[in-house]
Amino acid sequence: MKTLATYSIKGGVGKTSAAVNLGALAAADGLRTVLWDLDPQGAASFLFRIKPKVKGGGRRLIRDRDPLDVMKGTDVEGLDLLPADFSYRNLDLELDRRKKPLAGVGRVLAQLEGDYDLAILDCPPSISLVSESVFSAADLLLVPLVPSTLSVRTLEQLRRFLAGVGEPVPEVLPFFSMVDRRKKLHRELVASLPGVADAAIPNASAVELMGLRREPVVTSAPRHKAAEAYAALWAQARAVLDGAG
Amino acid sequence: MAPDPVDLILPSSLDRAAAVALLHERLELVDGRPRTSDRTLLDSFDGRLRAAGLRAERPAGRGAGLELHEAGAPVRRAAVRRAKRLLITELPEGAVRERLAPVLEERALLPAVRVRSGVQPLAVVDGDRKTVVRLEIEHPQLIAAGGKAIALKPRLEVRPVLGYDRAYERTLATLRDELGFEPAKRPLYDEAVRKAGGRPGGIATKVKAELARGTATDAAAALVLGRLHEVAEANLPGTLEDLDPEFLHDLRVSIRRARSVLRELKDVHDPEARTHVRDELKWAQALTGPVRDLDVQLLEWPELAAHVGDVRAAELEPLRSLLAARRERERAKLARGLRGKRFRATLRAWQALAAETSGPGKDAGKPIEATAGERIAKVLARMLKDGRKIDGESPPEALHDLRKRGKELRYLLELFGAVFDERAVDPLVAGLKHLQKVLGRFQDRAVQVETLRDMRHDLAAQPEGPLALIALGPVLDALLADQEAAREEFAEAFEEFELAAGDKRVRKAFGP
Repeated sequence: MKTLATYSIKGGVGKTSAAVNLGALAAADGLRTVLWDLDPQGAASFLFRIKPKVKGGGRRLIRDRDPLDVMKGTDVEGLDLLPADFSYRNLDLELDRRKKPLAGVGRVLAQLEGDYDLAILDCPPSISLVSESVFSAADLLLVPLVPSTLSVRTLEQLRRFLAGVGEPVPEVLPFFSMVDRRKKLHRELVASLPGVADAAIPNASAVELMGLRREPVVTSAPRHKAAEAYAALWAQARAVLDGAG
Repeated sequence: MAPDPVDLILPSSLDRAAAVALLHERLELVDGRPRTSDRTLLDSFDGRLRAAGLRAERPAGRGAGLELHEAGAPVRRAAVRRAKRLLITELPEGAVRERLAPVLEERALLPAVRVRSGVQPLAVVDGDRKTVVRLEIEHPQLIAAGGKAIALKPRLEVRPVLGYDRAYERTLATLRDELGFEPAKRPLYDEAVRKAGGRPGGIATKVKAELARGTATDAAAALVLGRLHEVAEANLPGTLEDLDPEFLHDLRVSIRRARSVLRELKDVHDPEARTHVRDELKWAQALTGPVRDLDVQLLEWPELAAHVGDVRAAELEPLRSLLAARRERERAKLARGLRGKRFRATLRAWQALAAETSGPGKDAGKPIEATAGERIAKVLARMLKDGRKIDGESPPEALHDLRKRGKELRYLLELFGAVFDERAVDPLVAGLKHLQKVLGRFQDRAVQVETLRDMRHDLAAQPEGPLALIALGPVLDALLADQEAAREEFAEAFEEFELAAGDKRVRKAFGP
């Protein structure tokens, strides 16, 4: 099973939108996919009309609960959800109590090995023990960047942080999100920043409407330019994952 | 995990619109987009996908692509070219190939039947409009040869959604108890294949003759020879069409086993007829040998090339081309032989011998457990005697001969084991299997080295052939090293076999 995480220190930059759309695309490709909504706000769970509730909370999940007991199938066939829970806000504390705090997320995922081909982690916006545990479990970090100088700086911070942690370090694939091509700054940044995914997710109302329709744009409007951008992003992410041992 | 999906049969009188309307009366539903699904269903000749709970489909007509369906997993898709057969190596890397590789092994995916359906997906939803159960109304038709459409039973597939087991049970209860829909007795694939006159489980290539203790030897021989003849006939068309290497392999195995039956049960049939069939089967075995040997070389090519690095593996390519070309030539000869009068006559003579349920020989009337038991005891004793003599200095022939005896014993146990205590047969077969594997490796490596060495002049004459010859050196070294390793493993494998043979149940059943 390969693991992909959508991660950013900043909030509201398109992590959840990327996670749910890539999840739907992976399932359509025939991969048995699980999306773990690690954000206590539960946006991905809401989007799939699934209650953000895990019996026993994050604590039991990290300790000994079989994740399959609390998972739910989404409206996208082949994509299951490990829902969010408000108790995830204390997941750092729970991990800190463990002998190997960084192994916590990986240990939960290890129980899904064999049942799934791909795990997607929708991470909360922070840099914490949870994120470090995600870094240690993930093969690939997808990092959304809103085209601004501040975002670029945040990406640099992340890269520096990852360089400082021990092996294994996940691959990092930043991608531009919420791009408004009418803005010169957006166009210039998208064109000039190296090492970023070719696909840029546009700032489109179809993406915003996902919250209302409660369906990924790649299934509700597969020909929309935003859906096509997610498909291109998934193709690039998949190539990286297929290359990852 | 979620429970398994269920197929229900809809009354034939319910067309799509009526079925949808009826379901809406009882369930909270969201309609999906109706579609027509015209596809060819595929499986291997011996029904491996069906046995593994898989269903492979390819769009009918000019459409390309392959879909793999499995309960509890999303549909896996692969881009494949249109072809009369698909081998695992012909599938692109990806989810389909990964799932099918251990199931299909060397077998080809072959078209089994074409089905065209009108499909209406529906979602049972909860108060939040969340899908909790998936339904699919299907009105299928078998498209027979010549394009004639034959209606199959309309179905309603009910698929659970993970975490919504109660909704699934409620839905099933509504459909079964309130609407009276009966569960389908067999899957759509089975219904379509049967309707088309085929066998849904494929053609079994393992001989499982149902023998009972007390069966007269002539009747038992007839049963086993008859079944082996059926397997040979069933594998002949696939061998001629060269669909996959297993057809030829299974044809050869049935011939070899028939020879073994005739060798072991020598006082059953008319001696002249027996000698004739034995000679002809020996000829047929020799006829089919060269292609099989080359098949093995080509099937083992990835392992062979793995002995050297990627660059040198590429340099070996002229050798692979040479093997493939040689196989093509041998295959043409084989096809001529198999289509020829002599082979047809061999099959007829074999069949005629199998039809003889009362033989003139002195053992004909004895119970099979007596005749086969005596043979098993003799071969086993000889194997043990010969095997104990083998040491580090023994010539390769000693190991080759022991392997032949092992094959003899294995066939006896496989073909007639049913009439003996399985607690004696099973451990003996297990011990024998391992020993045969080690001996097989010892001999196969020797044959491989010899074949590859024999090709040196032809290879040198190829463009880039000398480079391939250089790359071949380490390959031969690796093969010889593996042969040596097999020899070293022999002592332990033989000890294991001896231990199994020494078991008191084995001694009781086959002891001196």
